[in-house]
Amino acid sequence: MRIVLNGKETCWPEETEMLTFIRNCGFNQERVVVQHNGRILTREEWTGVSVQEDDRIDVLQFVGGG
Amino acid sequence: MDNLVIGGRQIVNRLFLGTGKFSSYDLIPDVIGSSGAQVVTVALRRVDPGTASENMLAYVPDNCIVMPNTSGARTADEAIQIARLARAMGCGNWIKIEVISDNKYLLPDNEETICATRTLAAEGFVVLPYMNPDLTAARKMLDCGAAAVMPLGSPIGSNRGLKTRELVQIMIDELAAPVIVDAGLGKPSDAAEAMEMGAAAVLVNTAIATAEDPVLMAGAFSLAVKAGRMAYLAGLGGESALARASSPLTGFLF
Repeated sequence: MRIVLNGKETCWPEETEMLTFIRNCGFNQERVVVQHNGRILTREEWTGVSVQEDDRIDVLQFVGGG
Repeated sequence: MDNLVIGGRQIVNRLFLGTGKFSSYDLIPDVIGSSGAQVVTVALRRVDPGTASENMLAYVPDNCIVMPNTSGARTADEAIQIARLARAMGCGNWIKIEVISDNKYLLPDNEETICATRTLAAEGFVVLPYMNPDLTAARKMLDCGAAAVMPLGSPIGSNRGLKTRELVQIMIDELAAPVIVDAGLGKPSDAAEAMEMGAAAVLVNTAIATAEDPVLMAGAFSLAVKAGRMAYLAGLGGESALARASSPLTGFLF
């Protein structure tokens, strides 16, 4: 299925729980924040939300900045 | 004690540190140590899947106040969303609002910044807006709940010093809230100048990060900020156009 991850179209094999998705993508779950279709997810919500066809997902972390 | 209080936090060290542009995150602990900075800015960015990206917060001591910025925001709405995302990271509720649509000089949009300040202050953020030095805009930001205002000294990353001196001085003179000079301070003497004028603090990034020895430069800025603050508290002597002899004008040998 097609999703948009960090602004890029991406193929993903199947509907997946967000927590699993974050882990499988190789993100460090302790240091990222996730936005799902424009809505900010709390960490607790990662187990209640699924990644589905056409979803827009942004995964962000802190970097150096002024 | 001459502490600065923002958002209920006591801040002893009036040098705020930006963490961008360092050649390695490994430098950051030593730079923070050398500068004594308690307030440290960070940015929020998308992270590519599968990349071994480093956790920059691991380089910031736990006793520092982490102040995310909203860099990348071109409108108030974008700044608000970035601020909410940053708070969801769980590192506190301080936010440096930065709304910029001018890519050449990176000058902030005061109008959008006022809008973002209103919303975020109402949501409980400790809001420090980066702004063009403008007394009226600053008053509006403070009326909206800003904890301080942060006028630029010169364009971001330019190291050109306090080109906005007159306007910043007016803000310092007229506002009861802390005025923190952010952006463009290129030398420790620039920081000292801002502090002598009565700035509550300065925020420095590029001048330290791009120095040949960032750790040494961080120490230099720290001393300059302290010197400038002490001079402000001591009260600067008056200027005059003509000379005024320092030695007695009586009892001359000749």
